Amino acid sequence: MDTTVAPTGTEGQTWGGGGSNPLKASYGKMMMWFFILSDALTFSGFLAAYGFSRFKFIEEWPIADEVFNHFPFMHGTDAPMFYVALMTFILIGSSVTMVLAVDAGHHMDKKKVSFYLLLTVIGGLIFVGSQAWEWKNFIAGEYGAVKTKGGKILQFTDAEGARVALNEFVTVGERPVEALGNNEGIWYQSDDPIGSTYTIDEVRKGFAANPDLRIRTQVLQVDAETGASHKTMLSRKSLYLN
Amino acid sequence: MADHAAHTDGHAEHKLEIFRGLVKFKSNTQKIWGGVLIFLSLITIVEVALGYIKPDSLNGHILGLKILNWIFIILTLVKAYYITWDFMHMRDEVSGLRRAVVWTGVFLIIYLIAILLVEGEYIYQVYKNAAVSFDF
Repeated sequence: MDTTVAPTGTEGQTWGGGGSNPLKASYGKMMMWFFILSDALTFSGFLAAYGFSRFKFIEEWPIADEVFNHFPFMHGTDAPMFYVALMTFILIGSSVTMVLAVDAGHHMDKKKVSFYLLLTVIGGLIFVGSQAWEWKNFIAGEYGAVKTKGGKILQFTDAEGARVALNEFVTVGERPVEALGNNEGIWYQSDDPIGSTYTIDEVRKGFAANPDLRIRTQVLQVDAETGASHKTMLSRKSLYLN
Repeated sequence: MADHAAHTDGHAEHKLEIFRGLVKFKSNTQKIWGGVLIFLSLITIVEVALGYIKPDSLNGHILGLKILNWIFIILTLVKAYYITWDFMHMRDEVSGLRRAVVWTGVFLIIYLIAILLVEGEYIYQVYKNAAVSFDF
């Protein structure tokens, strides 16, 4: 028997493809292949655009190990890329349960189909939820940094190169702000809560008071010995901040 | 029901061996677990381990690209090949359909990546060497 064309119960219907089987594939299967092709091209577009951005900002791009280092329910633990890896395995698991559902369907086993589809849906929800959680953490950040007028980012580290958060060494000073009462303010206007941002003078003072702090720029440097890339650290003597 | 029975038979003829007969499975269910889950997980574990350790010995460059990145690209292509060929049953199709799908995709994806990466590199050079502020 012809292995590639299986009757699908759509013979004679509009979407049945008229009974001709070009390239020995049923109408539905061939259209599914072309859908997969167009889907692959869509996602290639996304990924190539990501590659474009990375090549454009090859030096400024954050180090992935430092950005995606959270793991749910393990606050404060440095787990670089572990959650990303876990999501990959959840994705593989969902593909497996989906194929098992299809396989059970071929055997007309309704119970197994429902069960495996339920597992697939749960896997999908965990995956999408994980993405949302991870990006929320990523966007919020946790250390803070200084942005120069030219748009560059300066990060602070200790002598060993580990990141230091701004709130660990900067003291928030007085702010010349006045709170507006209920009848003076405009309901849709608000400021950041006091203490959520720092002035450059406050950062400068905090930096001068902590001789162990270092500043890291965005520029990539290649280690001559190991060949690994890392961000450039400024020496304290080169800084006017002292 | 006759249609469904024929359908089942058609699928029973999917090949149960992978890697050109190197590994053979007893049933389709076993093949799903052994092939899909274990094989894809193995490749992913290798990728994650390499990405975590980032061995210094793989920092050398071949053709302008780090050896580590070459390994990631090749392992990803192996995965894509396996998923398309076996998991999606591409190898059961006639060669005309195979070529229509695979070559179209391969050509357009290489074209897209090449154009965008060359363009990205060009803009990087402009940012780096031109006397304009960084975030114009």
